[in-house]
Amino acid sequence: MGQSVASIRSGIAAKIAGITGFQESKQTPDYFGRTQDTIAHLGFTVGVPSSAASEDRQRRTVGVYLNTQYRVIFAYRFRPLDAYPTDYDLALDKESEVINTVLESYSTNNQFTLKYNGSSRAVPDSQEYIIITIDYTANHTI
Amino acid sequence: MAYSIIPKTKRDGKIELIDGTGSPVTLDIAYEDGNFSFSQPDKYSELVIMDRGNITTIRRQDEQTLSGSFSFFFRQFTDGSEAGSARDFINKSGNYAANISTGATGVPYVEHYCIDIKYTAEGTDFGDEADSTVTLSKCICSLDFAEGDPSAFTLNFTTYGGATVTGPA
Repeated sequence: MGQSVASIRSGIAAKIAGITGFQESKQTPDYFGRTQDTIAHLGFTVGVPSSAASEDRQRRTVGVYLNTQYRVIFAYRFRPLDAYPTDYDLALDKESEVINTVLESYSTNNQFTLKYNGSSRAVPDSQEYIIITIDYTANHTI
Repeated sequence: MAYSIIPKTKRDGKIELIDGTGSPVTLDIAYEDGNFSFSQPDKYSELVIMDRGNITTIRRQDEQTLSGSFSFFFRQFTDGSEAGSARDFINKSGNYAANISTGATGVPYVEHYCIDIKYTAEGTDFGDEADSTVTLSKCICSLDFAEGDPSAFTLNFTTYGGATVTGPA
């Protein structure tokens, strides 16, 4: 019994990809948003910044009980004349949709629990996009 | 053989619940903190007799019990067909409804349903002649539940049959 870090990551990515318009980026999560090519409307990435051991015996027959941080980053394009407040609010609605979609139940590879931790939002100087970062914690055993 | 030179850690520990069936039904505790503890006071409590503030005599009083506890993570409360529920094991319910109390025979007789709890610290993997174990007999158990990340049970027990320890000779 257990679930790998990668399978949870891909499960989250599949959930988001199921939302209309969202496409997974080809760039690694750490570089999402740093180059122009990676920024596309509703482009997203799911990164795994860190894992930490939870208190348990780490018996080989059971595995290692972890809490792993997952970071969803996506971009939402602002139209020049509607950047604020129309598109800004639409982007926030998309964020809410992503938060809730990721927290839905998983039919396969579902041996983990997921908790929303928080969001952060940044608009670059060009005001072309807003980049929204959403953090979750998964409890699972590997 | 030389006394062990390896201090043990929680990774070396294993907790096993044991019933009183001829070939005992057992349950290894899994998904746990690794915080098993028990206290073993002197067999008898002490009556301290003072003479105007000075200790003059210590007399044995009542025989004392052992007690202890450990925590494990909540996965499910009960299961009627699959092994694994410690809650069922200590309550003689679910898959463990046919278990037999370890307190029904021997001394002292325990009317409550009770179990034995065995703690094993791995030793042979580190060159010890044998693993170190303590078996706490005739334990009456109670369970506390607390929701959290993760939700967890704490099993508290009182031992009426004493402790038996084994280890390297």
